[in-house]
Amino acid sequence: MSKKKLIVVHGMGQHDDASVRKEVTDAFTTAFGFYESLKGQSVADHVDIVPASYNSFFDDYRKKLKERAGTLAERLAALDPTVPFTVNAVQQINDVEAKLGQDEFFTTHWLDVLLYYLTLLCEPIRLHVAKTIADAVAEVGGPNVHVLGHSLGTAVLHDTLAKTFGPQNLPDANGIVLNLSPIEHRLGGVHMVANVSRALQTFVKVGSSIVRPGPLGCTSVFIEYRHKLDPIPKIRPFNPTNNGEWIPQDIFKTVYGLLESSSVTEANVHGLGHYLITPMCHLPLFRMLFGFRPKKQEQEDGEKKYFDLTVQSKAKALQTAFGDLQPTSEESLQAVLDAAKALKDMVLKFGEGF
Amino acid sequence: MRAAIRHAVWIACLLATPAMGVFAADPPPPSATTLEAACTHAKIDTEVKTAFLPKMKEGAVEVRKSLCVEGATREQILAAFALFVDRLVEDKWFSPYGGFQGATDPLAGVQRALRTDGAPIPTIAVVTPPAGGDDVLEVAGSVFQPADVEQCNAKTDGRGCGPIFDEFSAYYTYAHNSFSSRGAQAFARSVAGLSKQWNDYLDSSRSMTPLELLINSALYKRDETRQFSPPPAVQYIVLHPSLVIENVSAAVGGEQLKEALMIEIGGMNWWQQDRWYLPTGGSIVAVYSDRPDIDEFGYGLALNFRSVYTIGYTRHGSKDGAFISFDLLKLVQDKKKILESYD
Repeated sequence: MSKKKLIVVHGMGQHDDASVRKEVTDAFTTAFGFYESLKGQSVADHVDIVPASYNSFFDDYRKKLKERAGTLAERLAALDPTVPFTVNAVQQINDVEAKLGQDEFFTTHWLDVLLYYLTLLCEPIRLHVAKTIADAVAEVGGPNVHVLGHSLGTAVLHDTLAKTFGPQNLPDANGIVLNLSPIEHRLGGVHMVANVSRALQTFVKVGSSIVRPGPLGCTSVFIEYRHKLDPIPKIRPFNPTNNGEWIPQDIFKTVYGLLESSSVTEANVHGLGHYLITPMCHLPLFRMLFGFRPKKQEQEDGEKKYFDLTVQSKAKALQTAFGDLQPTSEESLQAVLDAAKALKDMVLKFGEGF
Repeated sequence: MRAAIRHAVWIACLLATPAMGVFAADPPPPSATTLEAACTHAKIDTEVKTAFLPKMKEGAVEVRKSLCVEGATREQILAAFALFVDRLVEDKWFSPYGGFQGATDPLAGVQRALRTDGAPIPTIAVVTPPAGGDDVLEVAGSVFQPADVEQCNAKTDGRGCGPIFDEFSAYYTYAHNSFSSRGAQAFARSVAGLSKQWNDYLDSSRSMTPLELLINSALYKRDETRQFSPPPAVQYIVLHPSLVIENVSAAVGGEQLKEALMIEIGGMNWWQQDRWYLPTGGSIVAVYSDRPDIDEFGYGLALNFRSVYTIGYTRHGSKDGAFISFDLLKLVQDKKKILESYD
């Protein structure tokens, strides 16, 4: 039987294919260690992790900005210092552009969100992810392909799937088919970890798109993973209701799930690795990806090993800070950035990386 | 039409079966002329961990053979696939494990689609209810639950019907992908084509300041649809600063040729224009330079070539000026060095 593929679309920050693969593999390896029948086994023997990293699009733009600003700054400095305000203004704008090209936290994290949400860089990113998905489906078939988005990656993934399986499932004037079929190429599962797709929705509302299970959707199952103390997905969360509107009521609980964990093993509860080592998150994934169905005792023993890793002090601090979080702004983009900054500050206080 | 082909293949198989003997466990290697993506996985893993449906594996291999070895058309592969499905239904494949609730069969919908010309053929996936519970099969949004999980438990060491469904879905998908793969490949090709257009846009178009990126993006997104689309054909230039070398012949000695700050106030650039001798775009400009007895600000027009090189004309009060961009200056200098090296 073909190994299933898990396509991973990362969130904000500095990522590439190798780092994404490592983060997921490391988390799964840790999780394997909780269960006797999986301990010591290689993740790669069970599932094919396929990163769809898109950071290079942002990095290339930042690099061009830096180069351009550097050249301009050098020349402006050589101009007569008694310059009118226009030149001063240009110099200040140039300084800002130069800063945008540097490797500071704002530029390596928040700028990703801004560049994706506000600029046309979103389209080549979506095309890149779409090609990764299409190649995987062509190779092993839709049911053997699961896609996972994390944080900003949930918005990228949602938008990509909305266009990939979109309603115009017809050949264009040149006879080129511009869509995958939600029937013949239906995905095995869509997994949204720390889902911000609704907060960052643009050309289509997430509740109206084809990215759903059920007869009008493109996937067999749709699962959201949300940590109760992670402030970022609390901003305009996607909470479909069981009223027959999004998907039929008789299948709602079978093909859709919102898994909300609350245990804390590190301060950065937003991290993908933190989500994946939680049994509530990885057990359904393992079952769907490679048929892992532990007996009750093995599962309980595994969960106990996980809970031995939880850290009470960090959990308390996070509970205090984010337990009753309200969005800082009606503008969801601003609210996402504010929530992320607050979490980042807390994580750094604990000496962890974000 | 599809039904007629199906019957013909059925008869051919019946006649051929005594001579063929036991079906091979693995299909022959793919044809050398076939580049089908699905054929990279032409070999089913021989280490089958479960063996609930051995006949199904053989049938799936036969369908895949028609793609990877015989190079059949979609219609021919569908006919082989229909045969495969019909056999499973006739054999009541899930009866040994208790059947499905409501005496249904997920393959019934597949058979209906196969009998309808042009209808897409659904996949079948195993779904684990996220909140817990028994595994089910999902077909295009319909869910099929086992009628008696205990019958499965007896065969799967208490693991429910999931392991059986896993095997079923794996073989079904293996056969199904024999024809569905082509559609996915066609989409992948069209996406690759669009990606190349976007890479060309990002590499070859005029560099954009954050302001220009925001403005061009807003215009692009204003017309955005649910389809993937190519990059915009035209870039709008707005308050774009750069440095130029300007010559104002009316200036006093030693001040004619000077560096100047140019701001392209507004303009347009058609970045795909690839004839080097034709401009890609132009803009209205303001140029600042400090020269005695010459107005500091001049206004004029600029023309861009290959989205990078700029030449233009300015008017400082009543005095004419001309300028080129540093990129163009560097290009000229580089060419000059090459020519001089031949002396």
